[in-house]
Amino acid sequence: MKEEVTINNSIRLKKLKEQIMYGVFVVATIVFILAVLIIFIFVIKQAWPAFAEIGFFKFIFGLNWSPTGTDASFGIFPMIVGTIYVTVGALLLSVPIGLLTAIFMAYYCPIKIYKPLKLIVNILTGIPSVIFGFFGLEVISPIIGELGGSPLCWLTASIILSIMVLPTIINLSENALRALPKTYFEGSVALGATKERTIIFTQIPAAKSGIMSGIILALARVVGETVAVSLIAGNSPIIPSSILQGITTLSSAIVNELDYASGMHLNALYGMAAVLFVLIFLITLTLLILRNLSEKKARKYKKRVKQKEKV
Amino acid sequence: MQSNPKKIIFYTLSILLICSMLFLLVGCKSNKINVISRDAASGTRTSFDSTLGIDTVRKDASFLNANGMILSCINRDRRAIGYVAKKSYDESRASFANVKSIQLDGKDANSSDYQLGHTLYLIYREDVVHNNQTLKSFLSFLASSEAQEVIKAENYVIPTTNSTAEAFTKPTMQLTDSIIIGGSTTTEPLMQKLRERFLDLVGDKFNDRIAKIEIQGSGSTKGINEVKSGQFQLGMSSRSLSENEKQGVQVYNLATENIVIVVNVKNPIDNLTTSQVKAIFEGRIREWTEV
Repeated sequence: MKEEVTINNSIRLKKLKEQIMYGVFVVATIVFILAVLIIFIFVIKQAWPAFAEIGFFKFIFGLNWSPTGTDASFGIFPMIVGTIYVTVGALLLSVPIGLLTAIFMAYYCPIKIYKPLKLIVNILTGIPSVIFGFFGLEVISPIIGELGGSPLCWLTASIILSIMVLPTIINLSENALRALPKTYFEGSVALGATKERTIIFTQIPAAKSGIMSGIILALARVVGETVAVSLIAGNSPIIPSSILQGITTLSSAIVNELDYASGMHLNALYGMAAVLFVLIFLITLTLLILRNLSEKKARKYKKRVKQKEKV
Repeated sequence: MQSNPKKIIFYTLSILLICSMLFLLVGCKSNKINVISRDAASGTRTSFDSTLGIDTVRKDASFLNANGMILSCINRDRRAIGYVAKKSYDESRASFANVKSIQLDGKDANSSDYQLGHTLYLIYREDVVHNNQTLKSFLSFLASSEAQEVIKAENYVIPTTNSTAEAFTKPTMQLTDSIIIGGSTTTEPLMQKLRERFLDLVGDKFNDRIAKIEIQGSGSTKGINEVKSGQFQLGMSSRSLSENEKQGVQVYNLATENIVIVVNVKNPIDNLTTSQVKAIFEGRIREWTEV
């Protein structure tokens, strides 16, 4: 009788523990979801007057951003274009370098060099962006200034951002290349292709979706990057006509002006934040779709291999 | 036709190298003016624009948030022009050796009839002063002859509105209230000096275990707004307040300071007229050869 009671008790205790832990996990999830929701609602609520009073098209496609003064005008098109320009510039510089480095690390690198190289790439991931910004301001911008335009410009911003996102591209591309089935490589070489040819025409197309997700992660980082850009981009609210002109991105405009904005100006900044939200959302969505595609492909490949084994 | 890939790479690389060097050489001859202005919140910018009658600064100028950043940019860029408060220019001579100030209409920034300057204002709320003994005492110190000595020693001019000043009288009771002074970064160094002198004078009456006088530089507009919200007890502004902003606060003229126009030492220009500076900042003059 006594034993039964103790066993019952211990079972009950276990159940209680389980329930408590269940509660903890649920609460944590709810806190997380609430945080995201609250941020979203807050931004939309603050941004609403900007969209309502300035007018959606006037706000998004307006070319003139002069938020202070008597005849204030809130057009964020230069910032949207600036964000896209800086991003495209940064990716044009970083994708070739990153991809080639990834190929080197995956196929050519001697083990002696590989370890320090990997370490450097990982360290580069962890460097705070403000340090990149400072480096750009002190080292890159004087060199760019020699080209004849403003030293704080589109090109400077793109160069610094491309260095910043290199580790993301390198790591993800390298992983994608390494994750490929060995048979791809061997099959291609067996057919008489050289190593270079195999890598360029079999391996890279096969690892396409992994590489693309690396690029898109890099894209998201460039779009969201704030401090470094506000230090080196010049913060000119214009659509630049050359790569040597100043530029502003959405996030750097927000961080520069939030300090002193009030009234409609503040709402307009939240409006920018909402636009940034949508941009990042679209980028993440593309990432998800790409991942799904690559998983489907992998599954198909495995099926085919199994069928062949059966035969 | 079999071509050596090594050769191709070599040729492309060398062509690229030559092109970039040509580009650099051509670039070096550029005479474009790089205009550097302050952000819209800056009191220095507001005073600069209104004194020179600038409507809108050219949009492709660089807009930077601090005097130090402007100086460090001009230090490295021989085609740049900018403006900073004279105080920060004088103090950073050592670190920015390639920056020089130029005369405006033939007048040096040290001369008494130099036109380009701005007043440093302090903003406070009457009800906050009433409840804060430290702030009350600090304000009476600022109007005293001791404070004016500090202001003069720092190369500022005393505004005519407070030319008569009496000696500072020590408070009778212990000061236990903390104050946060915030706003204009231009006013910040002077405020540091005034704070030091005040703490010297008050000495044993200031209970520094409980009370603190904290100074935060964050821009004039923030200084004004945060005094209204109660975040700062004393606000610093280096620009005049709009009628809207003046509501509900008291404004005190602390000191007057000159703004200097700065260029790189490699720039041969030593003197610009007001209309030339206006044209440069509005974007009507874009090449150094035009002035």
